[in-house]
Amino acid sequence: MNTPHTKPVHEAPLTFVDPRHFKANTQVAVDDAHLRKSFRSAMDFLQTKRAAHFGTAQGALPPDGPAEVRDAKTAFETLRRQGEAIRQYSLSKLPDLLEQLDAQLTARGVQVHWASTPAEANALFLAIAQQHGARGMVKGKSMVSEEIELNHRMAEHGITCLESDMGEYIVQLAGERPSHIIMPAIHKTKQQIAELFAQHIPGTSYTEDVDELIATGRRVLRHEFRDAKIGVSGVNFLVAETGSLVLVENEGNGRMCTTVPEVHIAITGIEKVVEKLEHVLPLYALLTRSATGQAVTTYLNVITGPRRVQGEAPELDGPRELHLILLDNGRSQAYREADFRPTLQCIRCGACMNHCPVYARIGGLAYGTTYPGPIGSIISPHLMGLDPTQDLPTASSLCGACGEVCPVGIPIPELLMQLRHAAKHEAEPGHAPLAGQASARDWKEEAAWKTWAKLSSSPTLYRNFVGLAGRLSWLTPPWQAGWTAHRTPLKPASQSLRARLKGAGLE
Amino acid sequence: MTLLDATASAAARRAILARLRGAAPAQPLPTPDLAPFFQSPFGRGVQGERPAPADLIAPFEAAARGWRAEVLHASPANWPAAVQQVLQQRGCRHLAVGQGFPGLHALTAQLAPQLGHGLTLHPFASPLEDWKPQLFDQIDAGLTCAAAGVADTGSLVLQPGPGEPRTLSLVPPLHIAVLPARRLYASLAAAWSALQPQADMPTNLLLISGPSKTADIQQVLAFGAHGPKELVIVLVNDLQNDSEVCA
Repeated sequence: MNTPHTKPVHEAPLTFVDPRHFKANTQVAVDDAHLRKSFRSAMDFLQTKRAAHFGTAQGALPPDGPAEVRDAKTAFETLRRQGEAIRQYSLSKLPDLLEQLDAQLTARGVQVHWASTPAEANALFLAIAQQHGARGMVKGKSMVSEEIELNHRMAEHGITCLESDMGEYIVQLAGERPSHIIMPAIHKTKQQIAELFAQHIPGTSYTEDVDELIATGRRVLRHEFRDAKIGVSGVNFLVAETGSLVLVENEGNGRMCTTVPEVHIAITGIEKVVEKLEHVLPLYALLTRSATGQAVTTYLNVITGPRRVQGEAPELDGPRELHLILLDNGRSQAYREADFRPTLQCIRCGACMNHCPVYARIGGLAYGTTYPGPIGSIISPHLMGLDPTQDLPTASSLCGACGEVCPVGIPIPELLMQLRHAAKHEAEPGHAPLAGQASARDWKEEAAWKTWAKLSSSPTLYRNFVGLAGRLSWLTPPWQAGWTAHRTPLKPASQSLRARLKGAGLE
Repeated sequence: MTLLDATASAAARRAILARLRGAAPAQPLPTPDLAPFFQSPFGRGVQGERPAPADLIAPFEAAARGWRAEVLHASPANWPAAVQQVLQQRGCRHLAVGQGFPGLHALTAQLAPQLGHGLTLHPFASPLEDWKPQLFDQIDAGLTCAAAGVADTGSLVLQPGPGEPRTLSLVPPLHIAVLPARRLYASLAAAWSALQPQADMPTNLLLISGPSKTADIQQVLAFGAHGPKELVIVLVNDLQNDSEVCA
């Protein structure tokens, strides 16, 4: 391995951003009883909520199972095939759709910006903020803004970004990062949140009453919505034909950020675009049910342009200026190979993490990436390169639950396998290497496998080897790298199976 | 001061599109056929005969209540009284309404005795900036008219515009929405298919299901996160009338 992967053991809470410490982080996370309890109950909650719409994730359809479960599964399969088809279709004409979107948005007075890297995206945010003399921005939920570390980069220039999604606000108060893409503060108990509020919000005393806590957040953030010059948001879907930004949320902070401030800046990945408004319908039905088990969210907000002030009847609210930043940040690498392209079908529902036995035990922070869980393990290598993220695709038992629940049919287990392979092997001739391709290559391991292949393909060599190993089994070391950390050492049997069968007269 | 660098953005645009074009399939996939969606429970009501609005009233009410919206029934004649009742019950003193609210005359007539005596009607007549503090800190209720109702999910479709600004359904703690029953559709797909918003896309189109909510603290559901704490739907049964109440 080229990079240190099991360096310092971190103190809980896990607030760092570095997937290279993944293995060490998992140990910290597993040892944290509070964290495990939070995640276990949250995952059970989300799984049950989803199952009420789509049936359970486990196994095939029981032919004699309850009719409503069968119907739910069938309905899910139909809907999923539609969602998958729409996402695949959209990706198949992605450059065309992006150009169409750009033209439509521009015609409606939206300022469209493009950024290849996080640095370029941050430069755009900074320039817009400085143009307006803004010292702060109020933010709706946006994982892409986490991806570019907007808050930190703006802070370097004296610009404050305040998170307004309740979960994000809590996480920001704690100086942490979101541990789940839908429920950012899922790792925190209400006692911890009560302490945070009492400590950081003037005039607040300790209370574990959730309604009161939310009322406090509401009170604080309303002033911000009212006074902020710039609102920032992510985007769930972009519609090329109409030039629309579609946002999905429950709290209303997304609407606040995109409606009340004078300037609205939206940022999203280039893969979010679909062609037609009607394509949003199946995807929205899949997204909300897969994410939180809701048939609809409180708000579906379709924004098509800034406030229209020209004409006989000028609009009286809405942002006067609307910017959209389209970010690549490694997405075009995933797009390059047909094998990896399905990664970009993702609609960020989080169902794969909710059903992942690894995520449920270690939580989102241990991954050290913006996107945790199974989807994070297949998208992060494209965003950050395979070198720092090489351990992530190994954080899976390949049980298949993530692929089973994915509402847009992303073959996550297959993609994990491909990334494991890419981390260990050079690119095939005729294929451009991924960033960090073969960074996990280990010559000793390769030599061992080569030797094993050689032995196994020659009957004589194999028999001699097995016989020798059996006789020398007492030489087997009691310590066998990672294997013996949790298991008893492997020891060759004194006799091979074949020899034993022969001895028993069964051959 | 950093200037907004149009050249950098244009260069990024060229580079991104070139990377994508170099990899995009020569032929895009065929346009997806959404028929299975429209035949499924999720997209019903688009194809075939439209379910009668009368049959959708009860399911709409049940679904809307499921999101903690309150649903009040009214006739084309007495809906202003229903709105008045909602305001009185909650002790609201400041109601904001768009200039384009179709029943403004009937409402003003109904509220007349109270106006100036504890209740003020604030027409949303000037840009938000002119009265932002008042809207945020003084207005108790916002009144809007829904463009459609979705029975399967208990949702309202709102099409804000000059006559009905977006913040009316967002900033005041109480949102009252008048929904004529003839605007009920089975699914969101059916409502959109009837409204055809894509023909002349409004700057904002909303689907609202219940009051604002969050489960971000230990999955405990709490209402009134940032948007309205309460949503009251005045469902006007106009099915026997010749013209719509809220046209």
